[in-house]
Amino acid sequence: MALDLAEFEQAFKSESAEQLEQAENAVLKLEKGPDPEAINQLFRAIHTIKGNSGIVKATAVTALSHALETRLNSIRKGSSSMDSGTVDLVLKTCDRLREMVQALGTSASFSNNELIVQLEGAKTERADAAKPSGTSEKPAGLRIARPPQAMVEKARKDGIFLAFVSFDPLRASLTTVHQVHSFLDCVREHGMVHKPGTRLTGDTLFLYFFMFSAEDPAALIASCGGPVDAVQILQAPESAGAMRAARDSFAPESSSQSSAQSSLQGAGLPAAPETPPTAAPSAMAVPAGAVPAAGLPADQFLKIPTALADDLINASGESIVARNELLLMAARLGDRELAAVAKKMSRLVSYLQDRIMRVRLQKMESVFSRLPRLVRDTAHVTGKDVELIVQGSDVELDKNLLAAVADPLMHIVRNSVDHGIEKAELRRSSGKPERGRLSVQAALSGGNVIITVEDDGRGLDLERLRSKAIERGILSAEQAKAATPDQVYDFIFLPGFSTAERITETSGRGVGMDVVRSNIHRMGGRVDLESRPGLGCTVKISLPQTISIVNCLLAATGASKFALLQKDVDEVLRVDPSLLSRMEKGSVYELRGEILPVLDLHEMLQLETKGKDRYLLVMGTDRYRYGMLFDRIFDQAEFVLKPIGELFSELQHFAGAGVLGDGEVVVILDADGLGRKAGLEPRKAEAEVHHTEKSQQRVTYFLFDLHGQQYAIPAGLKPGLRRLKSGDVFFQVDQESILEDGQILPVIRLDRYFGSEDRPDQSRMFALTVRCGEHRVALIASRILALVSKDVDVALPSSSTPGILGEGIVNNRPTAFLDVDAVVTHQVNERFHAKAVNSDAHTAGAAHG
Amino acid sequence: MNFIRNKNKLSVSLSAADLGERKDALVQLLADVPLEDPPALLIISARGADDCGWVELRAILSLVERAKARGFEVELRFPDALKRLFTDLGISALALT
Repeated sequence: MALDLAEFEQAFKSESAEQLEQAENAVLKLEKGPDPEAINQLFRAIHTIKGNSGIVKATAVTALSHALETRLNSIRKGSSSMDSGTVDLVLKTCDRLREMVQALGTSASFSNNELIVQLEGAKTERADAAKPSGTSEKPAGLRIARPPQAMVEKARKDGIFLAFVSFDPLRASLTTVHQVHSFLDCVREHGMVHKPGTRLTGDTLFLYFFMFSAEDPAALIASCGGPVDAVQILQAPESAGAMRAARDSFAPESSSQSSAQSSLQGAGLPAAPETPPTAAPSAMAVPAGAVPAAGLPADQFLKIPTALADDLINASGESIVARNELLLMAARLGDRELAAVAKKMSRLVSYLQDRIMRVRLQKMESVFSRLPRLVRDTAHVTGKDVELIVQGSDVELDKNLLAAVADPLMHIVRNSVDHGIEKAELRRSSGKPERGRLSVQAALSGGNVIITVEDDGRGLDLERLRSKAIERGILSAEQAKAATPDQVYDFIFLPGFSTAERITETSGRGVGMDVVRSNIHRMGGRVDLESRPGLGCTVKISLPQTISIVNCLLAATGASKFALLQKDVDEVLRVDPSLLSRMEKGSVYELRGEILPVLDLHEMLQLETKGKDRYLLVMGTDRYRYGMLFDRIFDQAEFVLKPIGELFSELQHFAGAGVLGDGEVVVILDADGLGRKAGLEPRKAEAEVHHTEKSQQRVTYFLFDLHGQQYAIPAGLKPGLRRLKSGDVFFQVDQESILEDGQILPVIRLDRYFGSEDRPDQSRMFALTVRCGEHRVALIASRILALVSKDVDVALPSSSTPGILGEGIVNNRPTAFLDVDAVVTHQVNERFHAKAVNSDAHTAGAAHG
Repeated sequence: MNFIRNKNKLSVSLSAADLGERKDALVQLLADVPLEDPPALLIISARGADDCGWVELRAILSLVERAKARGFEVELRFPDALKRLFTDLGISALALT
């Protein structure tokens, strides 16, 4: 029966990928300095690959890993060093091994001669020195023409391997008789060596012997440091079980030896000498998959094909839809018994779905472990010095999502090193540490995995992005100027959009970030970018931890029903019309003293019908906080999140779609996408926006009007908003005041303050309450206009009265940017002065009287 | 290394250092040992040696082979510990005395 190696091949591929990642990380540690543990880890990884490659008969992989292992061995022994050239060579060999392993089973072929020659450099030199001049190419080993039948029969009968092994020990760096003898001792630990001998052929002194073993002879020879091509198998066990036994023999315990021994003893052959196990060979041959995770015994794990896990997930998704349908039906029929059974089943389906999802969770480590190499290579190519800090490797993510996020993440990290972090001299001149800092971290937040890539580089050049957008005809100059930073940063996610001045080996081709965003969006995630000019850039990827099942709140406005991710809904309120103020652009709602921007879905999504504003959903993400109005709120629902298709994948305000129990499809809104589309200022920016760039003001302003004059105050002051009713304004002594939260607040009428003619109040007036230092005052407004966030060219004020920072044009209207502090201080001083004058006059009058 | 011709004996005396690794000179010298009549016995001795380079062993065995081809008797006089290693490696066919 022919041996089916496909199963081993698959296991070999995945295990080798892990081993190579470990190997690369060890190399990067060694690059920083000598590290005995790292060199051992590296050696073990390559040794394991070599041993396992023998089982799947990947001889080219075996040969290359053997050459690498030999080189590493000489480094371990101190015969050669891990200089930068060796680091590059080892990494290059790891790359080649990865390619070869992944190409197993295909027709791809690789020429490794050059690599092997480089790896054998030191060894070849030594061998050459020992070799008499004029030596010709040596044969790899002796070949036996006719196997001894008695031995073959014995091996066949006992179901074990019989092999003929011959090689020139010098090829395996066995340079003395003692070393050759130790090699034979090692082989004897795992099998039986029969009829050893030497033969001088030409200039080569071959060692040869026959070997009986339960393990795969090539792997065994390799694990003892011999060349794999030295093995000529004369008889192999026929059952795949024996092969599995051969593979299991790579387990860390010494059970392999005892099993081999008992097998030999059972076969009536003399057992191999009982030698104490040497730590090196057995410890070296541990494949990653054989090591039980989290301290659990290996038999508590079960390997299942990914396709089967996928089937389970899909079936689980469908069962959710069917469950929803059943619940709906039970509710419609009003049958209590049916409803009880449906609820019980619903709980079970939820539980099953949760457990099945966990089947596919994998640690971020499998992706994060690739970062050190990537950062190192990119930093080398670009001539930068970058420190990588990785956190959250233990965070788990769905296997498919993990695989899909790997490339986008690599792209973002490469971009950070190439475009973000500056070269040492530039950093020095900017007062930054010469070494750039790149932090990549994963965290779990409300069912989402947030991957944050943060660098301390130059950040994105907002003006360059604007110019590029104008140059490419994406925006007019006017639009570019009006665009918020978030909207401008969004340009880099457009296909072909790149501000790189040069195309480098690593980036600058303008391909990538659009693919990054669309890939992540396709997975139900999102990518956000925040830049701090001169200080760095942060890219945040947010992905659902498991594909697909999301808890939503259903709400409708007019004829349109939407689902909102429950995690984004802070609260649901019945609208109090007196607290809702329509502005020229959008609305605001006064929520317990907070002015909450309210998005108009009807306008934003161009809905056909507009509902009544009965309910306010307060949306809160880590980026935005705002309200949305709906006229109906339905139940909560669990959905299998479906992507909304390629055509709509650019619409950032949709997170996906779901199917209701009755088959109706609803769109799931993306709270952050909506906030971005509406041009809201991100929450965090409140503290940061007060900086100025050149002559421009980049602040979110609250715009209001008083008798035709438009004013702006920073939204960061968090003004309270109140509509004034008749009688709300009263005189406290001679000061106009209002009562707010039990406090008497002085009223400031800006027209009067700036010396304009007093005009009578209109029927609808507002009070904007603001705190300045120890004072809290109420500014009177006749209209609340908008929250705006845009770059405004500000000119110096024409008035000499304190209280105006500058004047500019906002929404085509001249606008006075208020310095509220100055207004209040001036007002207080004026009143104090006036009181003092009055008091003096009164005193003088009294004196005269 | 010394070699002494005495009537029908050709003695090659190797030191422990001679048998150490990468003694290229030894390899060349052994290759040049004159195997001429009348000597008919080649004695190769290495006293005090506890190991032997594979290249050096190759040179010795090559010399042994050439000597045998010329009709020489060959005698190797090596320390017991080294002889045991040779035996384990299947080099026992040589006349190890």
